[in-house]
Amino acid sequence: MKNYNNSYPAEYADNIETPIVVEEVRQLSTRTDNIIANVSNALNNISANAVEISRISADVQLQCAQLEHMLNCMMVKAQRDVTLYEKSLPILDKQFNFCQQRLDKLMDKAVDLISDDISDASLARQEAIMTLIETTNSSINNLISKLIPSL
Amino acid sequence: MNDEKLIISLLDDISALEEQVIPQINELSQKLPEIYSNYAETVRELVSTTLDICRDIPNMKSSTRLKIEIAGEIAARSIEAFGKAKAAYKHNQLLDKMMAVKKMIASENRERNAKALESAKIKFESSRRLFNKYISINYPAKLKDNDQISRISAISLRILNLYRTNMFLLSMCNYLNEEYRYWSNDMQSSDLPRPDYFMINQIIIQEMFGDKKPIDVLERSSKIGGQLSGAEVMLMADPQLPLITFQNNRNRFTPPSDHSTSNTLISSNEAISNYNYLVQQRDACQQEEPDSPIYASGVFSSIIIILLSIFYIPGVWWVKTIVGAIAIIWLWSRLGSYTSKIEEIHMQDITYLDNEISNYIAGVCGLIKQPNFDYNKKSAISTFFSSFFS
Repeated sequence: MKNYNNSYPAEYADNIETPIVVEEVRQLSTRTDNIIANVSNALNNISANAVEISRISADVQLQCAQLEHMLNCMMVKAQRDVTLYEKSLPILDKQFNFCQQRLDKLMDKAVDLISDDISDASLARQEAIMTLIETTNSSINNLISKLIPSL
Repeated sequence: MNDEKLIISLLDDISALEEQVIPQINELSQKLPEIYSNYAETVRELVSTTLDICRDIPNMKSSTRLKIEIAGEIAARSIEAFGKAKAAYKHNQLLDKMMAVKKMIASENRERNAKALESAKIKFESSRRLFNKYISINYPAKLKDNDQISRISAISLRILNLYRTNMFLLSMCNYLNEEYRYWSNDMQSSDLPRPDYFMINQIIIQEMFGDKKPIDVLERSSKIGGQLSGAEVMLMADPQLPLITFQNNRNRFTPPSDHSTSNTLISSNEAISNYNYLVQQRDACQQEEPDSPIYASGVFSSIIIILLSIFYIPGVWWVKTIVGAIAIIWLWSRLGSYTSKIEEIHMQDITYLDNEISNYIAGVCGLIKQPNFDYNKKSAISTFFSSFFS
């Protein structure tokens, strides 16, 4: 047993055992209180962390699943109907050739027509040929966009 | 759908991947480490609680506490590093999955794009012939009337737009061709700049005027008069080309005050008017002196302080002088801090107005923000160690 003789005031000298026990019990109780407070504090923090973890985990899992699904859908869409494309290609080819030839002819004509002649008749001819060129050019652009469909 | 939208729609596959997939991959790469950093935080919490409990155990050695602390920190750091390594692994996995989609798109589209490219080349070459012919013709300096000028300007714009659209289409098909080639070879991107109208306008300006500065051409042809070439008509009538020429020299462009063709063309160009208005706003803001009223009130207050200290402060002359001087110094130090704040706000206003001009030029001339994605794979092991030792 420890020697507490020097640790306690004189008024306890006739009954030294009682104050020692009381003091030890008080210290033990304080420690236990501290430990309980620490543990409960830690448990509170851990449970808050656990809630946060489960929230983010659920979020991540959902997002992962959505992303994988999206990529799978894109993959399926990317595997376009090649047979349909092959069937439509000759028609598209014909349309391309027709529009291309028409555009070439119109361009030749326009190169001849465009000049510094600013008479009303000449300007009217230039305007008319430009309208035809623009229409044909837009048709080819339309065909090109049909050629490369998006997802 | 107009031609511009039609051409931009060729990028739909790439846009779908960039707008829907890549942001989610990046977000996931950030969220995964967050989970593990929460786990690590829990471990740290447990260690800290254990150490608190240990503090109440009298016989425990301090070396034991240190060991618990070190072991806890190692465990927490390992968990965090593991989280980052796992995120890197997942990031790579998703990039691989995206690569598979890109490969599939490329294999389906490459052949079709080659056909589109061929057609775009033919279209571009034929519109180039027309464009070259037009820019070389010369109109008389004074045209009959405004109706004639507006008809000529409309024709010039139609030829220019045709050429610009076809050049844009060709650039886009070339770009897609390169992207598909890279994708087929398991590479995420060709790193080529994505074509936009701004780029195309710069090429056209270069083709039209070569080494001459277009701003000089614009000023010369609007001031000197004489015959106007087709290129000059295009430059004055088009909304995009003149703004491209203003981008490095943001001064107000004043049209000639006579009744020449140049004047009519420039005055009826709305883009130039809007640009001039924005520049005028900025210049007016630059010329403002926002702190002059403060200086004036400072001088006025100083005079009052001097008068007050002479007539109302009791005592000998040097007491009056010291009190007056302290009051004036205090006043000017306060005013100094106000003026620096006002000057700062004034500079912010000027920068804002200057940015407005840049944004207007960029918007009219079709500048798009170039995508900047990090397609690089991350090594899970090096991520683990760099995170552990950071």
